[in-house]
Amino acid sequence: MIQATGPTAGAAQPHPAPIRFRGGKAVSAVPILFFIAWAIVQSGLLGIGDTAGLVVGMLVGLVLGMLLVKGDWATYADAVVEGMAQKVAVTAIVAWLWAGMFAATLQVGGFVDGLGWLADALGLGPALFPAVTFLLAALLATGIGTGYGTVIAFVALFFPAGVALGADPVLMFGAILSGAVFGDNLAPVSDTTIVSAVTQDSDVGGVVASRFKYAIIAAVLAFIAYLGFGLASSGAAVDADAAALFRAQSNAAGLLHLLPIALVIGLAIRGRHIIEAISAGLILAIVINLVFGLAAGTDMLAFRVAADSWAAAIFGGWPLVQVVPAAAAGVGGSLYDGPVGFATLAVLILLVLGGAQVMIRGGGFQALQDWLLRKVARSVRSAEVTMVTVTAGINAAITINTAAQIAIAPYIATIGKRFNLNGYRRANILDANTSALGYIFPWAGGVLVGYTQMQALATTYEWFTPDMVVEPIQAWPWVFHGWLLVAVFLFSAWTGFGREYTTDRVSKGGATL
Amino acid sequence: MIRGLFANWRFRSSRPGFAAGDEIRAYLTGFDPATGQGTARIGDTVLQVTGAAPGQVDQLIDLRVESFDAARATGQAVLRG
Repeated sequence: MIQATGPTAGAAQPHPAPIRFRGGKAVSAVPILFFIAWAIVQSGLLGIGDTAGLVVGMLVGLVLGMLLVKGDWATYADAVVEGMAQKVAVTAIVAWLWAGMFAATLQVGGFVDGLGWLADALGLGPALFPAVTFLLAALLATGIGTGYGTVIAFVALFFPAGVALGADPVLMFGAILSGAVFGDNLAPVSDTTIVSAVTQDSDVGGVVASRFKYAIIAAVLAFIAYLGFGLASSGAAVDADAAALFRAQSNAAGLLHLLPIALVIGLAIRGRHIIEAISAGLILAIVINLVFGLAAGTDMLAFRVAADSWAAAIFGGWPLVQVVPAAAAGVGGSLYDGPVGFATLAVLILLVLGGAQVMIRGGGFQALQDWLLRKVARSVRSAEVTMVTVTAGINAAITINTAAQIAIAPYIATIGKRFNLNGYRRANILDANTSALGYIFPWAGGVLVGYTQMQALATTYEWFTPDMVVEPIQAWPWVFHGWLLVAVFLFSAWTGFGREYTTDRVSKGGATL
Repeated sequence: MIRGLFANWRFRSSRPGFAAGDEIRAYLTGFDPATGQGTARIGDTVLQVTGAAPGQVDQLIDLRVESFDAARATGQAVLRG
């Protein structure tokens, strides 16, 4: 997902005081399960893709959960706040805000127009666009280590270009989400990679090298699938007016913004924090916009004062100040539009992590592990299949995949060690299924950030029509790399492909004697 | 690192085999207080471990394989060191 700043990306410490529920430990899952049911009804059945609505769903779930607590409600309330205060949530929000500023500033600088020019020059049509988008998104995500940031940047920049050229919007969104999954899984600086290594007594270099085989097999198959579906569906969604408008706007100068993108990737690869890397890229993008006349200062930051106010009389004509009709007064520009859209999502993430912490403190996770070890994991094959499905299941349920990963990691370690699976194998099962499921279902963080970014496109491009927006519920069948990664691991668990025991090799960082 | 990318592209048995005299490192996966015997389960292969303590469950220990029955994927091992 995003670059971690510490070994465990801010995992919450288990609290000494457990929460006791009427009906047993499984009831501690009520807030999260209620939220998922709400999300399915709201976005699936009713077709309402409103993130603020999901916030209400999680709030109601948290209230309902509290009514089921035995005794003092204070421990429950503490757990909610404890979950919300985790560093992992803040790290995610930071990535969204910075990536939002960066992507929006590249947008106003005409990077999409540059891509349009390049696609035309290379003869890259709607058939190839989704497959190429998957490749480039995978490269960016592997470079910068943030799947969420990749989704934001690509939905802002590549998605509209592809759609305008006639590529299927759903396929384009799926390709972007797939690229994010790939990078989240494989990037050495991705926080899911780091958490998977640290929690399974392994070194980051070792887990990245050993998981390459699974990732590349899934990616090759996903690339072929995007090619095939791209060829089959190209032109189905093409809007002649949109394509003509898009082509009329295409401009090679926008490609200058490849420089700030390269700078961000380069700094991230060198191990610089995501805030440092994206800030540097943002500053360079602003300079390029101003020096080459790609965007005016007010396109990036504008104080819009009401025409009839005293402020208009005094400050009208100053840099970055625009005089507008009273109804349009406010702050604007890419530095405003980019991050502001993620405010609602940030609140949702905090609440979901509160709900997850209730499940941890209420013993829901512990009950799950005990049951798995007793009933399901009877052979190494069933143990590995269980590790895959449980990791996928928990990640499907918890909106931020890193948080889900931190919660499930100790159980993966326990089950795996009981069969002497070494740290690399355990880390790879944990991370692949964490990365995959973080970008598939309509309540997944990766899907929601993409949808949030997509809604802003209609106000950015005159040719972008509301019917080009992909609803969160539509994306799940098209995230090919995510599904294939899970399939590769089910195959590996069943056949023993890539399996390693501690007797074959002990991971660096394995418990000392 | 690059070499590591192409390592271990293989199918590993769920019942790994050992030979008498093999010196291995593995997690102690169980302990029976009644018999004082530990267990090291490697995949679906089970080694009975002599000389281990109950506190060593889930810890890496060094073992020497004393005997191994490949057909049943079971064997005897002793704690080293």
